[in-house]
Amino acid sequence: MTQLTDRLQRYSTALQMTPLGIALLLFLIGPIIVILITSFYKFNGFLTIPDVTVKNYVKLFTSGLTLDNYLETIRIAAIVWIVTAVLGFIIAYYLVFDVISLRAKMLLFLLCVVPFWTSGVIRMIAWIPFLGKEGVINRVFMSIGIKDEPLEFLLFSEFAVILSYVHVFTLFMVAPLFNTMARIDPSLIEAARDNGAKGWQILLHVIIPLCKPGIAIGTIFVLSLTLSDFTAVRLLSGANVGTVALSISNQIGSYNFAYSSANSLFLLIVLLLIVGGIMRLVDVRKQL
Amino acid sequence: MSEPGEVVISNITKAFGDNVAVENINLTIPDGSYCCLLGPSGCGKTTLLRMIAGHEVPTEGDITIGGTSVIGVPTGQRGTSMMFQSYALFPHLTVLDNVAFSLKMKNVGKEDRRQQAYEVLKKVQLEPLATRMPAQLSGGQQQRVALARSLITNPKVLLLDEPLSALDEYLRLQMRAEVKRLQLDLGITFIHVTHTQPEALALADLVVVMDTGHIEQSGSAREIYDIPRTTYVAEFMGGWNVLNGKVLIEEESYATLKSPHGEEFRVPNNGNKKGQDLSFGVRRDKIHLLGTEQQKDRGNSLNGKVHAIEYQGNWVKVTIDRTDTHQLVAVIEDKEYFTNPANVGDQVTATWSAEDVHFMEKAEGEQNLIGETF
Repeated sequence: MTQLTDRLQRYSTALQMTPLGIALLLFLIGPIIVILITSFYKFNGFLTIPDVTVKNYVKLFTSGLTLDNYLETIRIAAIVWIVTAVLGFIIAYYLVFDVISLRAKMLLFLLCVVPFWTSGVIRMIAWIPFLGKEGVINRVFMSIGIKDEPLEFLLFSEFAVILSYVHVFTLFMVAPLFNTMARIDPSLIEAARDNGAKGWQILLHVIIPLCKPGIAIGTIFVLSLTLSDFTAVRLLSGANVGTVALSISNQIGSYNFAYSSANSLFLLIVLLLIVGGIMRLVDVRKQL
Repeated sequence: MSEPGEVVISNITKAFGDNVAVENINLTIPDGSYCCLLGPSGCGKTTLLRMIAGHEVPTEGDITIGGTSVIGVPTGQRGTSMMFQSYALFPHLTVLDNVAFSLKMKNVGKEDRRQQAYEVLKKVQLEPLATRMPAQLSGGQQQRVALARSLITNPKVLLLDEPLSALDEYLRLQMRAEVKRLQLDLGITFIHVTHTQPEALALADLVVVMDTGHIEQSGSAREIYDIPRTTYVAEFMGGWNVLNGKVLIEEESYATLKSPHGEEFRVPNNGNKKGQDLSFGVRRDKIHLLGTEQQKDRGNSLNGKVHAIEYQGNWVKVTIDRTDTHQLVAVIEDKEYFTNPANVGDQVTATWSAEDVHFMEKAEGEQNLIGETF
């Protein structure tokens, strides 16, 4: 009996890790291996045929479309990142430092989560009646006489895509920032003031540096969500925008699994490089 | 023209909603003095300190530093600098940059401010740790960094919020001596908040004993300890037995009091009326045990059972149960005690002389006592 418990004790760490290990293997590592294998398959226009060829990768790196897609994707991701970071910082700052009662803090934070009660796709579609030619904004603008013609850039444009991303992803920036900011010892701010720092100096030299881990985690969330989404582009860009995720989705739509696998793997590597870079710059562990 | 580091607090009141933390306080702290604000937690001492620093705005009243009112003057421009209880070092900056922070806020060039910070670090013997991060330092080292960060601003008044409470016993005594030496060297006003009586006695030129938002007594350490004004001060400072009774008999120079428990005490008569309720104290070290070397009855005696004995080297603390709930503490020199040592549970007679009786006012309201000294 004691021997059994001894043995269990020795393997207890391994045993405790097993369920997670199996889940990760089945749902993360496994699929990636399948994609990796498929990326070396051949596509003959109708069928994906098992093979070992680098044709897909050659096509990927020689096609001019790849670069265009990546540039467009990165541009959109950068704009979304900047807007969500600024918005997220302001919202988190307000929740942490300006709202004093804990109850009000939690209530406002829950309010931020309300949009998540509906699916992401519906939240994106919901912009259409707002931004359209006959939409709410254009009608209001025309009825109060700001504009005579409806604004065309609002819907089926890059603007609409970015707007919906900001709308859906800002909370992913607010949550980690709220968490880091709430951990800032209020006496640090008093100490800064005691040392003659003015409001903006406290922000610049104390609060922002201490929020770095939160910004980093928020950035990882927002960038990976933006880089991997294609629904907003499909629904709101009106074919005016071409991103990597959309092109992968289109390739899957035309049954070219081999090429889309290669494309996906490359996107994954780009994303991992970005995440790795962020982790190098900021010690995210402080947040955990 | 008043001295640069003189702090005058006039009619200061601070209320948080309905809760009055500090009520109508008047206090003058002379330039270059070491002042300790002493009291149990919740007595308003930290609030008072924070008002001097400018981290709280008084509801009423005025505070002047060096003769100029500082109400409305931003923190950091009052000539004060505060050392926080948690030290509040910036965790993202090195020791050197922590110390140089106030210079950076004044836009002093990088080389210049680092040079100056280095000089101050030398003063607190921390220059070898200049490039470390605060998390890599021990509590004592962090405290020195906090001190250096305060000193670099050349304050007229240094405010210390429980600066020694986070340190272990040994380090606390060491830092206590160091802080005092620093104050003498710099010659500036130190205002130090503490709830530890020996700390206040050891450090302060001016001890201010506070309770529930007001000052119970302020004066030199010796005055506070030896001539407590109220029973609260005596009990809070420790070292005293506080007793009370009604005047039973009046003689020419003595009076006899009867306590609520029926004990009789002989005290000097200073014109008391019969039936008057009086509170007085007897210092623990003025109480002797009958049966020891000092055999004689000193005019007052009280019987009781020994509750506890604590040997402390050159003296012994004997706690005697007077009644079920009241105790008397005698602090007896070791030699005297060991001529006839007692055991826990023994019946003993404690004795003291009427000359050692010190009358004091009964403290008003609810008392908020924690800890004891000796």
